Amino acid sequence: MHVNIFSNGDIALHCGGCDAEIEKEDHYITLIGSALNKTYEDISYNAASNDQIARTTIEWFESGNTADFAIIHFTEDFRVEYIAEHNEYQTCTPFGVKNHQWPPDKYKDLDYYYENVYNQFIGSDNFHKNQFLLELYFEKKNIPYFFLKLMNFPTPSPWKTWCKIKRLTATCYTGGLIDNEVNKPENYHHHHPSEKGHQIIANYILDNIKDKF
Amino acid sequence: MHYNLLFNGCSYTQGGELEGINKDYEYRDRHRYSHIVSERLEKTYDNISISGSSNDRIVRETLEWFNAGNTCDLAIIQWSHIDRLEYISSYAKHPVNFNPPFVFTGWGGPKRDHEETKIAHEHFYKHYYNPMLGIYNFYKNLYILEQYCEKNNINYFMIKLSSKFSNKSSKLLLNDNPEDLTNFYWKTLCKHDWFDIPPIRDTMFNTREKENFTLNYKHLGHQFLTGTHPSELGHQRIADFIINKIETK
Repeated sequence: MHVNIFSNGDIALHCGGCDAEIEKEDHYITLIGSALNKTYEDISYNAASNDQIARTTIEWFESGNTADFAIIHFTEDFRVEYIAEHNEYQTCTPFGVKNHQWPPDKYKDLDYYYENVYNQFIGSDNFHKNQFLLELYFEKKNIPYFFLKLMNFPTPSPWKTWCKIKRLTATCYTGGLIDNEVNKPENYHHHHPSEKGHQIIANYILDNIKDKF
Repeated sequence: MHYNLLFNGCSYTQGGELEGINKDYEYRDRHRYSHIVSERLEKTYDNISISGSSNDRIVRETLEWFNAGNTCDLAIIQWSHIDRLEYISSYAKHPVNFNPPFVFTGWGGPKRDHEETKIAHEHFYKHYYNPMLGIYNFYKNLYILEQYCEKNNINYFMIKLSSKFSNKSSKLLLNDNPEDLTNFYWKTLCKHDWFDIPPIRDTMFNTREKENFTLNYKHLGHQFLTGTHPSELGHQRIADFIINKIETK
């Protein structure tokens, strides 16, 4: 498959499957595709982690698909790709995900992880390792790209020093393009971007990428 | 700075235990395989390996070395146990290595760490880690290294510590069957495969021959001189293997 614009991200930009569902035509990638009159493919996934976003992006390109441009919306740092020993080849993002196919003792273990192991430095390091990898991949393949992130933490990381983009534009929460839910309730729908929120995000991306086509 | 050869890995590449009870690190550096290879081939080299390294650290520090402006003709990377991982403490704010034997056998490593790191270390292995995560992490690191070297036209050659995925002392052994891992996440994207990377142990030297290992001084109170690392002879055999590979290439 060849498309003009490839897009990947997490639930905030995904069109279906949760209470925050919006119409596809209101999704930011649809707005961008229409405004530029370009074809697009969005493989965003509910509750994706940055690990998953990096992996599925590369898998998409490596399975023979091509795109002229890539838009990647990274998610919160604390989500990680976890593989359960007894559920081989299944991943999840432990925090806040209620996947009831998983045994209760595994939930307990994931709680232990967030209580006793995880900290913002680990999250930041993992995010920047994924950002570095995607920058490396896109540059090696000569694919122009535009990165955004759900929210930013100014946390240092060894991998951050090698990332080309030192600070990505945040879309949500305080300081983000659509601000937080308290200040700008009109930009949100069930804790996710509303139609207006998607339009703001789309406008921002269009301003930054329109010269690249 | 430009070197002909770059070596990175864990204690096997650092030359662990060659220093002996006299702590003669110059002796260690002259008898480890990186020195033997470079001397025999009349090449310059840098060895940035650190004992106890995880594959996270090996990849990160290899990239740090190149990004600091260093160059080499050939990078020789020795992969370590997959169950070692890098952790960043919110107290120290810099990476430390998690290593299962510290948790399961009471080695002394974490004694140096902050209490928060000790707790994280224990919880990580007792409640969170499983071999599938280790394999996932290995292949992701392998993919990053392959991509980085290819993008920057860096020649590289890889070896690994052992044919087994896990350190026996971790009590987290996985059935080392390649067929169990068909289509496993990052593995499908990598040019190389764990099972095709030559292991030092039992390929470059026989682990049942005592002369390939350093002497055990544990009974004299030397906690880290337990005879589990290659002796001078062991390092020569590793060097023989690598020289043969380089010359064949």
